[in-house]
Amino acid sequence: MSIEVKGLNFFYNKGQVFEKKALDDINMFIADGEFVGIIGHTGSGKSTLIQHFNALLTPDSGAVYLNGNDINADKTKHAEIRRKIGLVFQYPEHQLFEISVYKDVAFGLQFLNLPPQDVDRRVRGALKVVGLSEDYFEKSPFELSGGEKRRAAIAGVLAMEPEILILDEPTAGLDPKGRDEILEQIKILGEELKITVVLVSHSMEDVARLVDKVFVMADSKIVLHGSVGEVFANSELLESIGLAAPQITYLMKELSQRGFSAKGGVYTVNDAFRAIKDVLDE
Amino acid sequence: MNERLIIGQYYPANSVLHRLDPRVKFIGSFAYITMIFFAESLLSWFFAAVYLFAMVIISKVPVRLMLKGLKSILFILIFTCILNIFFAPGETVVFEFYFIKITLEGLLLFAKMAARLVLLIISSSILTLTTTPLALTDALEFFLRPFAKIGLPAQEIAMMMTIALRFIPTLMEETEKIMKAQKARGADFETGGLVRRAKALVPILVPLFISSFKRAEDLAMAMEARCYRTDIKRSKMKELKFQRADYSALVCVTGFIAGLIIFRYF
Repeated sequence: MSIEVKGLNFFYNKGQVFEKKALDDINMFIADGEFVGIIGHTGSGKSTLIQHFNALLTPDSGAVYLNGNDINADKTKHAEIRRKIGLVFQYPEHQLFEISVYKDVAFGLQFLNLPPQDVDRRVRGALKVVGLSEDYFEKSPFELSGGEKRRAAIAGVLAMEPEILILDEPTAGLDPKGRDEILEQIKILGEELKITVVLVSHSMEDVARLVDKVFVMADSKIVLHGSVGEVFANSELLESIGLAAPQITYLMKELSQRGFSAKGGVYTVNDAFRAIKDVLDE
Repeated sequence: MNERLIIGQYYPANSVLHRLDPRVKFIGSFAYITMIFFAESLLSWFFAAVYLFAMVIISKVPVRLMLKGLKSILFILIFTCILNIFFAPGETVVFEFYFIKITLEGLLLFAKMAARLVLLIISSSILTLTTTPLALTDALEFFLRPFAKIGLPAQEIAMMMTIALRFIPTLMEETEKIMKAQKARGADFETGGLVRRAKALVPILVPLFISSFKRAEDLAMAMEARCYRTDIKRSKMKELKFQRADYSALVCVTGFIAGLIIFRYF
């Protein structure tokens, strides 16, 4: 499924004293099956933008199209749209409420009127994707660790078998191990299920590692977009809006300035390793 | 969501009323509410309404916001209207149709009730719209202080109120967030019968309770870490102090009370 946003403007508290422009003339296109990153500083409008993708927020002007159809043309279809677009909020573990992990993951499915065996298949499938084994099925979601809770919550969204998966800072507040596990699973999801994935993050490292295309937001606008290489080549612009290229990119720059002629355009630790190795092997 | 909740919402503006000592505003509102139950003649009603209208103008709060608060009492107004018009005793019949009898006395009674309710709501709206919740609790603590002698924990009550007020917006934000998250998982809060809708609240309330308890625990810990104790008298960062405007305001309030007494007895 593709997402297209045209001329989108959005205000918080429109018409009141506290009116605040949250999105300013956003135009973007995300093709079917693409893995896209949205980066930006806190308060730049990332979370507000993605809530427009599944009609949780309605634009004040402009429109959002899914596969070419305006999602706000018919409000009665919003529930249906939300089932096709899985949105994992920041700190999704706060939405857990059921008495067991299994039941919590099955929560959204009860609205689909599926036969019981289908529900079972989907719940098991989703929990398998996030790496929670059967030992967890009957546990209370509240006795899990932070990383496990988050995976259970993500499974709750995956069980809906969305055609687009949107993740808002899925690694916020996790330790490095939990972070790597979640990112690895997200990567597998994008590659194996071939679904469109939108990753919102302010970790340049995560974005560089995973996505095909990046949108950079600052001050309610999209200021830059393109492939990972194109975006991170603009490190001055990124710095001026309070972001930065991945640390490893700076390291490589520093190295080449001091006469170590590794190839440029390196954005992940793995690439850096290879680039340095190439030079040393010569 | 925020729009419906006008009582208890501060409207930032730079007016004399905003700058007044919260205690003066408290006294003013209290006096006003007491006095409108004291008013009898048409002239005194007119006087009270003009006085209130002047306050609305001085407060610089949009009239639209003031009237919004009235929406919440619309039902009570209509209900008392029906009761008074149809069932109030009276001789002067204006309109009669089978068992329905509308009397002049009933109409007057209703008009009085309605005027009282409207003035009451608007006057308390002025208080809450021009005073921050924190200033309100400060004033309340001041008025409760004399009762500390008979064992009323005035400081603690004020602290509890401050905390409760502080967390209303946080809780509302949190509710909205959880609702959105459950909606994104396919939950449906808008359709279905009463039972289904009540059941749909569970996925919102459980996470909300859990996070509230957790937040309460964190807050208690943070307060204790800063040596919060209840058995000592706490000093204040901002002491309430009467300014010249406050004295003038008190004179104004006294004038209003005197005015209504004159209307009543002379």
